[in-house]
Amino acid sequence: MVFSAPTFLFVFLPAVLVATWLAPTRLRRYVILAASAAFYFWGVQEFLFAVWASTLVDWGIGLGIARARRDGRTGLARALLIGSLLQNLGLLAYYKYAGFAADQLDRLSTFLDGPSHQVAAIALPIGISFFTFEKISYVVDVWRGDVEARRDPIDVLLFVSLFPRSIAGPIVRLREIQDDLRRPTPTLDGVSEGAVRFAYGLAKKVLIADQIAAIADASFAAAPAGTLTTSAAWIGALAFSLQLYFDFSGYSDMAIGIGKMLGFTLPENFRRPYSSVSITDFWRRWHMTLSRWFRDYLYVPLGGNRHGSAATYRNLIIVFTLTGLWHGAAWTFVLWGLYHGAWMLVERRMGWRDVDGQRPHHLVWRRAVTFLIVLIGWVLFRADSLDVASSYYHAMFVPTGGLTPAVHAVLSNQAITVLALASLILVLPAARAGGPWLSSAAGRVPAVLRVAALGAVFPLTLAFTLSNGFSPFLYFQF
Amino acid sequence: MRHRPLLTIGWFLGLLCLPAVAWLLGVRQPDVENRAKAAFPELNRSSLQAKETFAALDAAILDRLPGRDRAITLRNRIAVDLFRDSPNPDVAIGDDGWLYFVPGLQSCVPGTQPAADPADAAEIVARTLLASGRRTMVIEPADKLFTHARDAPEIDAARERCARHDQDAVEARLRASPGGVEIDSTLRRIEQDEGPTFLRSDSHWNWRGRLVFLRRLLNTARPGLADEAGLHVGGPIRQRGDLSALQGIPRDDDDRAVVVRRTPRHPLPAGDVVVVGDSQVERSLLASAGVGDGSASIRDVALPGQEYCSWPALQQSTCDDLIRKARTVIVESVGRNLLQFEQQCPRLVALSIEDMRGRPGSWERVDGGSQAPDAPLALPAGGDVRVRAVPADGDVRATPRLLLFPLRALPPAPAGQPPAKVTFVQQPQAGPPAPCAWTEQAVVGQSLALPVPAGRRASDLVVQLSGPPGTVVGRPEVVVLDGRRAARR
Repeated sequence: MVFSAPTFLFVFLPAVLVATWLAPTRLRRYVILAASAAFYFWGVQEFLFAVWASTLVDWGIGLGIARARRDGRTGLARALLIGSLLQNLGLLAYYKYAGFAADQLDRLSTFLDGPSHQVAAIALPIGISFFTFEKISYVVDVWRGDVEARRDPIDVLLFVSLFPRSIAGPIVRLREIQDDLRRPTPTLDGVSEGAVRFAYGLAKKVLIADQIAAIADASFAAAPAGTLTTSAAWIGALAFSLQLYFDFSGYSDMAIGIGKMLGFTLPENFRRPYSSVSITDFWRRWHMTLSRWFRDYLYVPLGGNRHGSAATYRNLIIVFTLTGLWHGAAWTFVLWGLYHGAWMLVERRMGWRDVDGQRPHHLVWRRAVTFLIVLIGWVLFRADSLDVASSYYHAMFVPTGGLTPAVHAVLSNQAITVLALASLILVLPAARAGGPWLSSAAGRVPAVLRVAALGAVFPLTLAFTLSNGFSPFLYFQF
Repeated sequence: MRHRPLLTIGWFLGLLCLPAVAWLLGVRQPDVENRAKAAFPELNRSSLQAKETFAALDAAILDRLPGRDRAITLRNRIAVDLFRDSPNPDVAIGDDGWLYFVPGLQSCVPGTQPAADPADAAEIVARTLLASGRRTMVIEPADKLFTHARDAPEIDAARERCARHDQDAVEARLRASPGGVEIDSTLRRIEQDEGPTFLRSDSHWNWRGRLVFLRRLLNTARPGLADEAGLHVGGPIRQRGDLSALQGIPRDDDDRAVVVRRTPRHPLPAGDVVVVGDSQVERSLLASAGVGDGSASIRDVALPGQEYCSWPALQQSTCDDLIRKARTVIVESVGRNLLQFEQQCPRLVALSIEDMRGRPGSWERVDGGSQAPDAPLALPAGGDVRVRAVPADGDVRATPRLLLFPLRALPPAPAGQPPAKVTFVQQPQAGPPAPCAWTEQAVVGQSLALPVPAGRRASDLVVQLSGPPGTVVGRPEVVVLDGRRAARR
């Protein structure tokens, strides 16, 4: 079930909201837990039980670590921590990376004239990357003493399963919502803000991202066939850059909105990333909860920037390689991560990254260049393979005339208009992220926009979701 | 202002609950995609472990959510009225709201192009039906794109040229061929002199087009039948446009009924006429006759006891006996369906040749094997031979011909195996394959058939015959399709 699916919008969400609001406060968390289980079961069926079993293991380990540390048994605590890390990363490795690793070994074996071993594909449960990181963050936070180990397993189950962010984030830390886990208390203002935020996010996904998806799809489909022209390549890359932002940030808006309506305050995940003035700045604005996870649980433990330039660069490369790999089990994702890591290094080396609080020079130029760098990187992210990426880059940088027919076919007037409107995001001020401003800013302008968003845009968005998949036959199919 | 959050929440929740509340109040979503609603899956322990169950649940819920039809219309209206986009890639928007079916060009799209010459196919079917001793009318009316072209947008210039060329070739051949009928030149003249012959939001004829077609059809069944039945234009009606429905913006067009006044005093014997066709026939012949309470169709009143057979029914062989019994066979296939016509015309040929015989020729092996000139062909141990038929009347004729390959002996299949049959595959040495070939036979005494279009060399039409060892195919027999009845066994 995705948030823009009619089943979710018109059946699941209203039922869960009403059930949560009507439930006594002490029972609310159980209602939300049951809804989260149903939500996840709808998508992954019995894998839900594997997630819960793993979560309960982490809950037990958390208690064990806390007790071991109280008893001064640091070695045991460390062993439990390592056990949890192995358990979580092992699950992630099995479901997400085993196939990739087996493919690489098979290729190596074939290259060395050895036997070929095909491994059956393993179905990837949605959201596994997200909740794995959250479980790790819980256990590490317990180890560090940043959060108390939870005695009640429901706390941890609910923390991991909370359906608004279970499949696409934001990546939450238990300490951020620990009070809400105990007693989720939706307030009138919170629910109202959440409704606006949700409507805003849904509109971003349905009215913008979904309308320009076909452009990117057509461009990337044309690349391996060798029919991609230069103009189509750049249009497709722009379309994908915008599609990805509006889809992902829209989803985060919806997650935050639902959280508010249920009584949870989830962290922000995007802050106008395409207004960044450097790649360093970009990673402070794009998928912020992932960046901070890698910073707090990998970069800093590796030493961060505390041990000289060489170590810093090494740590950055490790972090960004793993960031790429976290996004997908393919070389294109690894290269994408390395690409960003390399730019981070260059900015550090050349002194191009801005320091917080200082206003950078040549703002427009820097924003344009940063966006261009990010856009070029998105080609790797989107391409199905290195060959496709290579063909795409060839089309982008070796000029060919004309416009690919398949891309021309999807450039309807509507798609062009939406693409142009979506591109306005590139010129909006960086200081203010749309979602939080729209849902909670005071003043006449945000108030009017809230009314417009809910009064006109939301019904239109719902109409678009309800009409999705309309594919009639000319003659009746008996 | 404490009521503001409540208003916001109420509005938000109200919109989300609206379809469910409507459903509880008895509002039901009509079918909007020309198909039955997706069924709810069975829910049990094992089905709940399958991803497909939840996908099926989603589909079933979506089909039933009240308001979906209005949502579709709203969305597509925005596309059309605000952006001038067609929400369905199969529907092109022309001038003044005229809609056109883009697959009207499908005969020139790779994958949906006929392999053989479509004009040859049309002619072969018409002449073969005549050779079987039947009356016939074979008609392949042009798509709206080529009849009401003045309001059509440019869709794909190259494909339009190609499809128009094919359509022109088919029309010209049917015009010149006995048994062939072409009404498009008449419709185009009416378009110039009187008005459109198609509906604005639909892929079918309006009353002008239907009137011309029905007059030809009824007069083919029996000369003068159209007047005898009192075919005329009736009162105004509204037609729901199929193309507007494809766009999700249902629209009704003004039209007029085409009706008959009476049943002929001496109706044709039951089953005397079979009409094989598509929705143009259904809209015309099976529409209300305008007689009595209006529930009887024109077919029921003017052609009582006569049969209609759709192309899918022909393909499933459910019309075979009807066609065998009929003395008049009318074949209609809209011009864009050239591939469908090519794929299904062999059935019409097969039913026509059942008791035909022709002038014996000889076989010539092209695979190096030996074959006596006037002997039947015996399939060897390997089961395959590559041969060409040498007709008795020469390699090339200006008239189309049929080469019949009568099956003389067919060893039975071993127990437990499917029934034995003999088949052939065309391997033309020049040009495209011949159309409408009947390439398989399992009944001894019946024939396979290879048409030879006018001007084609029979020697180019090499075939690979396959069958169980011991199969014997008699000498090829040539039937000249000169518009006259062929000899019978």
